[in-house]
Amino acid sequence: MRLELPLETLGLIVAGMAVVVVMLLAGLVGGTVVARWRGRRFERVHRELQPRLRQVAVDGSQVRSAGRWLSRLPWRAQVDQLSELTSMLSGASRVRLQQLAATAGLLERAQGWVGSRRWHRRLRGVRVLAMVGGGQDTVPGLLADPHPEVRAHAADWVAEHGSAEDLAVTLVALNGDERLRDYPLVDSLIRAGPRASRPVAEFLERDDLDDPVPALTVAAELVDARLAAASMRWIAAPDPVARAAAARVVVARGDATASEWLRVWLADEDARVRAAAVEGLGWLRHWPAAPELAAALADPAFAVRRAAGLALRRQGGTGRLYLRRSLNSSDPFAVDMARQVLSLPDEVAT
Amino acid sequence: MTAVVSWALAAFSVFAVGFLILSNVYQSALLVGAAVEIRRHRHVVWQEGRRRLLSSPAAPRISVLAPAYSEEATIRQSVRALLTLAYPHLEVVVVNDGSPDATLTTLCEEFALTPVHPVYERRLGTRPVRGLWRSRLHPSLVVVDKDNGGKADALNAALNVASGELVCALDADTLIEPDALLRIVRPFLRGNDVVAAGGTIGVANGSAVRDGRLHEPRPPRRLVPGVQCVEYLRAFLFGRLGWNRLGGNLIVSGAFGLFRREAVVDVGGYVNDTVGEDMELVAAVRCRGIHTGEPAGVAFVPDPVAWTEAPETLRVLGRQRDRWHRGLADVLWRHRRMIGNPRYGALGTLVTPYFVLVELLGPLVEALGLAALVGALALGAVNWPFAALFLLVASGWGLALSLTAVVLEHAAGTRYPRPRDKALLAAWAVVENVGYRQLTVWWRLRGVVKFLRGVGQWGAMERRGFTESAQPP
Repeated sequence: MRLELPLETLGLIVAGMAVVVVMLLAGLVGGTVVARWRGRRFERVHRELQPRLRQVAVDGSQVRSAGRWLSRLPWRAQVDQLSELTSMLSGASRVRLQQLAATAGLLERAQGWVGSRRWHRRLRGVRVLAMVGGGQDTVPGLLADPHPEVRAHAADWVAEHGSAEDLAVTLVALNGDERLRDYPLVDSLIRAGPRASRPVAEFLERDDLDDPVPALTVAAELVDARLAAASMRWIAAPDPVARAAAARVVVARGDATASEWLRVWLADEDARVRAAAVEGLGWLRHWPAAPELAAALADPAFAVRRAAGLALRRQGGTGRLYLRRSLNSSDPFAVDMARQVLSLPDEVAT
Repeated sequence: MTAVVSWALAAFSVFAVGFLILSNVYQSALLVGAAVEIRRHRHVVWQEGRRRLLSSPAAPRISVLAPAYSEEATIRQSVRALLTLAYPHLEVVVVNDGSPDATLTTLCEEFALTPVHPVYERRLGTRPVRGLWRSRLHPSLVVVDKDNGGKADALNAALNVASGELVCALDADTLIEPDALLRIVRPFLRGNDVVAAGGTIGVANGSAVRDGRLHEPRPPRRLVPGVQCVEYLRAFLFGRLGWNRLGGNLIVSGAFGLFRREAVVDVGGYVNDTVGEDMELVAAVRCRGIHTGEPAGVAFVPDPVAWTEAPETLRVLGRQRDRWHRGLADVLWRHRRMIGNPRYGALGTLVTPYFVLVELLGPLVEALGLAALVGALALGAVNWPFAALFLLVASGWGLALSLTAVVLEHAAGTRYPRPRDKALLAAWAVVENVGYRQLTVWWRLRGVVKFLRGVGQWGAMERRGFTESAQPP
């Protein structure tokens, strides 16, 4: 056996590697030098731009002048500048951002990116539009984009600038089979605030809803009577996770009927629902439920026992009284949990 | 006799060239995968607005698990740094793993700890827990005091107490970037199929450290940590990042990783009787996910998220590498049914064969190569031009990979922006090929031998510690 590998071939491989190493070194040096050169090249533009941007932030003047200077920067630097300004402006004054971006030509550019076939350009476009506004005709369509990052940022845009119809489209995405359906959409709907209440309520009333949990999570955060009413149809859902999520909406509602419903759920067959109900009674500080909560200290599920103990602690005097009585319970689990919860410092227990 | 040896040498040379081609094909694929991932990452993080997550009520709760053993001198700053990490729903669980020094007393004094009855479910078996402490100053701080049982046991105790949906396991000496959690949680927010995520760990030696945080990162100027700095970049930015595209990672560094708590508890937590408990956990979680059809994705985030102190002496480094290799061998042995098994998809057909052939057996092949060279010299059968060019190909490829890692670091958003830092990294990339790589072959070979002999000790790690007053060079 003999390995026949011509020396010329090996020599060529070595020469090729030497070229690669030299190119890598050149790339490293070149990258650093170019980054520094870019910084210096636009120093003057930045100097002229900064006071004008400050004026835009303070009183909305000099939008045109700032826009003209902004247009002299590369687009990435333009977006960086606008991003800094975004953190200073809120409400109606955010309109100035859109004027600024339009003057600099960035708005038009972003609208072009949104229609690109490349996902990263669409992402870039939707991010700029989420920052400055605009794109009402194009961005809602991106909620069904094949790329998860683009969909997530389209949801961000909807939270900031979307109409009730756009929010309804966002909710439709919650009912799909896509893996990306929970966090970005739920977060955007919560951020949208009261604007999302009606679409979420209508969504919860749909008959073809596969999974109401994300929408119920939004409903619990938005705290709206319409949402509480729409959530009530899920109190008897076959899925215990949905029942537990509905219990949280009821807690957020926080009225007298809420505590009545929660007391009913204390007898639910699923521990997650019982734990959610017990937790809710603790948050509502519903002291008449103290005997039931004390009984829940002997629940077979640890999560329910722990939630019951903490709920009693949150109820103040009555709860503590029941916890102390539980120290003499015939159930060793109830005694153990009562002792553990009573020893917690107030800062942690409440 | 001479004819037989000559035949054996020729056969080995064919095998060695084949092995070189195989490992280079694997590494080229990883390189391409890493480059694609870096490009994707740059698009994803640009203006992503991750600070928005700070005000998000829907963000998942994270429990940071920090085992501590004899950390009296540094625990105050470490815990303070953890408590001030930027994340909306954060819990910090510190485990005093039977420290013989005043670690617990220091914690009690600094954070106004008060003993409480432990309200938690003991889902994982651990050495006896002596007590549970809560802070009156920081409601999100929990301290577990337990009998000494090692890092894995301490992490299991922390898992029992943790209440977060996600858990972040740390080494006691890891320095975390303030926004590390905002970065590393990204894969969990973008997909429900992710069970674990790791990030780039940097070498902190030579950088200035203040208040448990790393300020002004600098590449180390000393040889041993300097070479490791490049080695870490290569391992993370091209190795682990490349696997993101090619079937997912099998390792999340024990120094800093984020996991779904339920997935970790379901596989029984960290395993005590291995020195590769971090890799074992990832392998177990992925294996279980594939068996049950539950999520099994492991993502790697190229953002630099944490910093660790690398060994400063060859003796300590040798012990560490020996242990890492024993851990690798042990985990691959435990999960040997995955190796080459198409039932496990890319994990079985691509990832585990790479770890066996290139990572585990690579040092063996290199050592055999050296032995063959000696044999050929004795027989006067060395084709010098061929041997010289072959060695140049082997080390030139290593150099190209290391330099690529430095370029990828630059592309991923560099932590070493100064030209002189880049020059130093490039210098360490060159130096690494002269002597250091050969030493690592020896240490890893020693690890394989110790594994075969059943040696399971960790070996003492000596650290110089971070000097608070240290100024960057």
